Amino acid sequence: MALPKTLQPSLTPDELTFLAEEEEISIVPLFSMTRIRLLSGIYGSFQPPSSSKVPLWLAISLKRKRKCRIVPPIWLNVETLQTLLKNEKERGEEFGRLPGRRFVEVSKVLLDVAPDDLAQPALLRSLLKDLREVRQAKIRLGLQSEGVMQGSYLQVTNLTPIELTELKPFLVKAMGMMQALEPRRDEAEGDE
Amino acid sequence: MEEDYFSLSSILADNHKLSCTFLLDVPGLGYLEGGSDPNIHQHGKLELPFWLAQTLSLNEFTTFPLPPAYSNRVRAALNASAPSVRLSNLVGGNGWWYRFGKRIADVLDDRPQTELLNMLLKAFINRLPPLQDLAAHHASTDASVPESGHGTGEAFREGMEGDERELFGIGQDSGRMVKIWYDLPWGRRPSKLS
Amino acid sequence: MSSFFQEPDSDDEIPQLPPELPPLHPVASSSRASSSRPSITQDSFLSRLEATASPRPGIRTDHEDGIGEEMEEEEEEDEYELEEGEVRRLGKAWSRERGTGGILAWEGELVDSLMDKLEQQQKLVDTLKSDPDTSEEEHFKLVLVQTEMERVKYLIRSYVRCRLHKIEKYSYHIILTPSLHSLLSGAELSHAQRYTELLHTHYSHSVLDSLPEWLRKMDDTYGDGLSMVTKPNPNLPVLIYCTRDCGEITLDSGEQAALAKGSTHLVKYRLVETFVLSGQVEVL
Repeated sequence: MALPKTLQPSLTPDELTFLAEEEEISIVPLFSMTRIRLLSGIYGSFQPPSSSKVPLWLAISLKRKRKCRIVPPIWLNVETLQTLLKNEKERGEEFGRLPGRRFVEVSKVLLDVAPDDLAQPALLRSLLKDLREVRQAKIRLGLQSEGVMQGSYLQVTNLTPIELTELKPFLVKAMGMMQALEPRRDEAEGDE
Repeated sequence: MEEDYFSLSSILADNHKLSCTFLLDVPGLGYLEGGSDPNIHQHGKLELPFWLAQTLSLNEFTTFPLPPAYSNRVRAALNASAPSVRLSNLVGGNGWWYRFGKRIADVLDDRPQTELLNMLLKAFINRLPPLQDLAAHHASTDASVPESGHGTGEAFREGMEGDERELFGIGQDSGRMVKIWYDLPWGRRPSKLS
Repeated sequence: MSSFFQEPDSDDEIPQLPPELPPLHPVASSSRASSSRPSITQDSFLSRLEATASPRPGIRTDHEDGIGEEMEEEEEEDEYELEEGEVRRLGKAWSRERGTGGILAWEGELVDSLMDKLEQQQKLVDTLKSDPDTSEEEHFKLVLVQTEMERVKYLIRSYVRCRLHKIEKYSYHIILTPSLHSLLSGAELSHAQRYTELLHTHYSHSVLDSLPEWLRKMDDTYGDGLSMVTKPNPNLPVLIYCTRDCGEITLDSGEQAALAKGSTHLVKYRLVETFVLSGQVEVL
């Protein structure tokens, strides 16, 4: 694990991405192969030009060997991202629901590994960055509102795992401090 | 503040000294005062580490007033502008202002205890926003996160006490970790994690 | 290839896996202790190996690959249903273990099953690799098989390491609390025991033996509740994602929080423990 103690309470972005690689994605194989039986399932057979569904890690592996083309998820295009961004900006304090639970991880990985299979990758990157920044600003603002975090509770619906993993260690420590400093009402558990 | 028996921060905080007044004569221990008197006299004042002061006070051998770090003057300053107060040197070099304050609160009577805890809690809550902003700012090395308009900036950073510094470090580290993840193409190992 | 295929470079902070913990070899089963826990004995393992040995990988037929033939037998269909969820399930178990403060139940069945399958895959790989008649396509498939194997090994290692970290942190508390013992595998429990002994011996030799006898205790509790025995904190907040509606809970402040399907919360573990253990919420 080799993690600094303070960061251990949550999975690192690398670890989250590892888990996200289990998500299925469509590929168009550039070679033929009969079915393959793996621990996580049976995939194939691969017969170009038919598309096939495989786990993301497998798609990446094949892509890196130039053995497939990756079919972008339906939401990974300029129009959708622009809509998401607009939506996010107009929502005020609330967070928009992003497509799929692994939106951030999957989009980053695909942009890194298969930009040639995407339309306008540079623009996609830029839109994703904007989206991220809008949300980050909301997070910062949200955490500064009155009474937030007190009672060691916070509702964080629609925040993604990557966003949450960045926040959790900080929040846990801050909440711990507040908990310890609460004037004692009843002595149930002692503080913390 | 974890209530861990082995917590070094708590142990260090406990070691900070405060001024105690003896309620009785104690023959033979005069050397603790550093003077030439072989005995400690009633009403004599001594600076003792908290862990000792706590036991002595609980057994009513000593009393101690609220240390200056938690005085009305400090309270007033915090009420005016909590982020502007330098907490870093109020409790000695190690500076565990919240922890030390809490330990003292633990041995106070109900009313003063609640007052002290409220002061600590309020200070922490009011100092949290600039702390968080600063941590976010420092986490983004390309300064894409602007410093907020509190104006306290680096001055605040220098005024942070022990737990605040830890909290700041945590915010900065996790922010950096995510930023590195975004910046590095997936699958390539960084040569050195900063 | 993803960076997870190599051992982490900076291994020095990671405690060495104790010898009893199963190397990735099925026979040294991880569940050694009580009979109530499912355990893979030598016999059952061998018989399973035989069952999969028949028209199967390793035994060449002239027109089919060693890997991934057409499946005709019902039995194999069922086996696949089981297999399909396992890697994901372990991923969730790992996430759960990382996200919570105390120790959760050892997923013995899951880990044993995956390790069995890893062993089978390894045999398959070894067989086909050394066989000069293996086709190019099969060789390629072997690469994919091995890629996945590394992933699963990484996942199992990470899961085990996380638990190990917690077990060592709370080793004395675990030893003193019999009700926790069933949460650990046999190997983990004996490691907790030995680790505690080691630690206490070290404390004794380095410090405690030099103190007066009445100061040598390792399990004292002070008047204010502070105990020498480090325990997990039930008030530590956890991040939960509600895969289904869990109704409302009452927070310490008295307010209600609605655990609706699809919502995410950072909340004290104590308040949602039942949901975590039942699987109704996922821990992030």
